[in-house]
Amino acid sequence: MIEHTVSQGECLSSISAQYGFTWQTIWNHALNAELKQLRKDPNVLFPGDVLKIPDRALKQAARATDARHRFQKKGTPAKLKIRLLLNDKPRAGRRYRLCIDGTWTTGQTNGGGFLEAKIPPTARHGELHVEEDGHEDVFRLQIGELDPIDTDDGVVKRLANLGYATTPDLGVGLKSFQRASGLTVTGALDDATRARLKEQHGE
Amino acid sequence: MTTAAVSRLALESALFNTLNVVTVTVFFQKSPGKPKSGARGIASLQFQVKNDGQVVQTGKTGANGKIEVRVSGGKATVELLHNNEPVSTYEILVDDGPFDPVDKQTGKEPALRHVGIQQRLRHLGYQLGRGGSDDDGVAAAVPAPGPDRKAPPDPESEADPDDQKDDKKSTERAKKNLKSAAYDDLTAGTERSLLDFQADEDGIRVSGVVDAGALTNLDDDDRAELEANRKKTLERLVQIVGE
Repeated sequence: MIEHTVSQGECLSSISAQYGFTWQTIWNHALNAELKQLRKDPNVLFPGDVLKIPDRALKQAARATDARHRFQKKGTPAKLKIRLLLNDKPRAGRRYRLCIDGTWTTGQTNGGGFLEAKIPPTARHGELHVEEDGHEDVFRLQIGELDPIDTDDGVVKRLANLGYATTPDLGVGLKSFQRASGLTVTGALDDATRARLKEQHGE
Repeated sequence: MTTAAVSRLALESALFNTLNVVTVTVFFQKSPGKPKSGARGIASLQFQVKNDGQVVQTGKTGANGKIEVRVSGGKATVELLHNNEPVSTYEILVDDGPFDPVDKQTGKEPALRHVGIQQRLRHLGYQLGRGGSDDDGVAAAVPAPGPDRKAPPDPESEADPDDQKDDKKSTERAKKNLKSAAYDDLTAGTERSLLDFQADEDGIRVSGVVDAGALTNLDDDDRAELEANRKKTLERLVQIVGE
């Protein structure tokens, strides 16, 4: 058994791929029951979290000789799914260009403003260009760096992605978010705000 | 270019990330007030918008001086350019509730009401008569210290101790004068701005009055008219600013 300490930019998919497992194998393993209880969400781990990697076991499959057989590796790739909004409204049917670790692809958002792309589980960097009415918005994507919602960094990053100010005072962004979301406007970070933030961000 | 942290998802996941761009409308004008026509706006100003130090938008203002600033991550920097060099810089911060209330009728929080009015007048470009490049006059315009506001400086703390002993009356007089000057100066500045605002708006009498307390000694007819005008002024102010 190996203990893997999660660093910024890593996630369950990338770590699983590194050790040759599917993410489900690691996440659902009894060794990680405590972490699973703590984080609940397999898509977002926090730097410093420790994943226990089980020993690899030899899998055997009986097949006839003198014939060609096809084996498919499970669990890869991962995916990137982003909902693009302009003033809180979906950017439907917008053309985009996406670069993941140096490879460009193009596409068009669907009616909900979503783009979805398969990516290598180890992808760390991306660049997204979105065209709209003669303007192009460009995002530098830090893939796998969205921290859990129960951390301050996770709150800050989600607020920023949703278009709320997080500097110089997080309270300004929190108040704006709470007001827009119909929550009690306190400027304080409470459970209801975290839950709504996660819901609206989609993760 | 805007930096965004996103999660890497398992193929089977139903979760997603969201990236929201907000547009903030900014008017550059020759004079304060509601952007009514091309005569007030400053046209063809070259500008650029930066986010995280990177240029994300460039262009020129329209005939009405308008820029639709695209803001990611809740903040952006607008630079006005001359010969492609920045000459003025403005920080844009997305805040859905930046203004205090305008019409606290209880009388318990008069400062809040004044600040709300002053914030909106300042937002429309009216000068409140106080401040330098970093002071818009609003905070200094508070006539009475509230829980979050600083009181005017106390001249006693700066006076020579010997002078205090020898001439307490003079210190008291200086203290009164300072508080009075702060209040009167700011009131005058706010009133001038109010007069300008009322003069700029159709259907509003130029009275300079938004304080219900100022109407108490008037005849019924005069009071009713000025009260209606006072409410219309505040409503128009809130309506134009959008909050």
